[in-house]
Amino acid sequence: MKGLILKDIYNLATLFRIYTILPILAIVISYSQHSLGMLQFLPAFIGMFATISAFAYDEQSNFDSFAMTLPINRKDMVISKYVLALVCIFASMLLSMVLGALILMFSQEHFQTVELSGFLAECCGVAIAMLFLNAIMLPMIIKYGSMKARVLIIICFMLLGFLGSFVISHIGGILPQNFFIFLHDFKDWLLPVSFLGALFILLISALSSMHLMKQKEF
Amino acid sequence: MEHILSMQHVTKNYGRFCLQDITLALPKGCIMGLIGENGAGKTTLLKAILGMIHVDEGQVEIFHSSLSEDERNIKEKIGTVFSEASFPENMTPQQMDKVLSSIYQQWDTTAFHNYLKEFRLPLDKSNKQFSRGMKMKLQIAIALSHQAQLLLLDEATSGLDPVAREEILDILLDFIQDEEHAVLISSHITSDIEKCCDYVTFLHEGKMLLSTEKDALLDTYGIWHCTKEELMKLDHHDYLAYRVNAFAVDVLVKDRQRVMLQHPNAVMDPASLEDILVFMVKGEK
Repeated sequence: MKGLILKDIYNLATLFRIYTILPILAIVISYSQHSLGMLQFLPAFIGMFATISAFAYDEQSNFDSFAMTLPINRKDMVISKYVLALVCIFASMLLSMVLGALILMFSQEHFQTVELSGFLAECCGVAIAMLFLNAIMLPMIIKYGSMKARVLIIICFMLLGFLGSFVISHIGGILPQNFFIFLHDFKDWLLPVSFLGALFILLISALSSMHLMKQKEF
Repeated sequence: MEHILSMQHVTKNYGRFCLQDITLALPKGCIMGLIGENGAGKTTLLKAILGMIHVDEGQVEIFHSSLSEDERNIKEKIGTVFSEASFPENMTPQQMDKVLSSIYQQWDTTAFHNYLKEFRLPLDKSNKQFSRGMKMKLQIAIALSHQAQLLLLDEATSGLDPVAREEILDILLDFIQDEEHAVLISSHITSDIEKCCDYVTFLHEGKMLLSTEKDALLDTYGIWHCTKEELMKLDHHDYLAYRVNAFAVDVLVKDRQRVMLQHPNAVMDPASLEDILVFMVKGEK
């Protein structure tokens, strides 16, 4: 599996070099908008696109057929992609946090509305959202390939966004006040519980992906 | 004789094409050639051996074990070369060396570099800059750099110039000097098979028509140029196929010596592997 992850890193090296421009752009936009919002979404870009690109490179070269001749099993082929996704998400999350903290340390007066603790929590939130996204995305890519999966993912999230806005606009108003008090009291636990939930969903996703990979023919 | 690879009644049905009831055994220290026209099932057979497809029936045993029992250790000892290289395009041989040394327990970097030198392949050029022949040679270098005992080659010499093909055949003959090794090579270039193989297996439309020692085949099979009347007198068990041409009938006979004893004036030529393949595909039964 180490070899497979190394292979993905070599494949994505050019992409990562291009991605170095993203933090620079995010910093410039942050200063212009007096907000660190763009920095928070680095895990979204890198965590999602790096994983899809890794699959796309493999499909382009038909690498999976070659991998089947190597002393690795199908389970390793799946796990390596999940590990890559986790590494990309958490590395970009740490990068966002470090850059954001440095910016606030040296330019707090420019970002008066931004609190470090809130910013760090939001970075974690985005990373957790990316864990959920990858949990849905990776089995689709394994089943349908990266091209079809991209279209399916866009459709899924448009539907989720529509449903979410429908729920918020129509049901939010009829929820009891106690529900909001409960959420407020629970807010300190929200991130850790969401993180554990995301890891659990990712585990289920990995098991589904292994099952799909087991059925695949090359 | 100990077998390194055996297939028992392997069947894979794709609907329009079916690999049917394949039974063969590859002894240690031997090279087996898999011959067949395009679409005969050669690649499908190799994929069945490697577990790349799920067979509907039958068993494949490699090193006295099956992939379901011991996939990692079995594949550790197999080197594979396919007609289309499937390497990541952006990677260089140097990077592949690092990746493969993390995957194979017995990866030999020195041997890999020596093969790259021998094949005149640059270490630092990305795979997308390699020609077809260079990619094929890279595959062979990889296949030979991890103490493999079984080589599986699928059309490995197709698309190569005669010099490169000769190089590869020499490497195979060198590889087989170790009696613990074996090679299964599929090709429709029958002259390559004739040069290096000990056994040949003919595939046609997913069926295995013949699997026997190459020398025995070439020593006994013949093409009898006869008349239709002479053909009618021949026992149908004594020939595989015939082809009618403008002047005569060409018959692929199984034992040319016996036919010549029965027909002293028979015009008989020894059959090459190419002749046998053409008769099996195009001939009438």
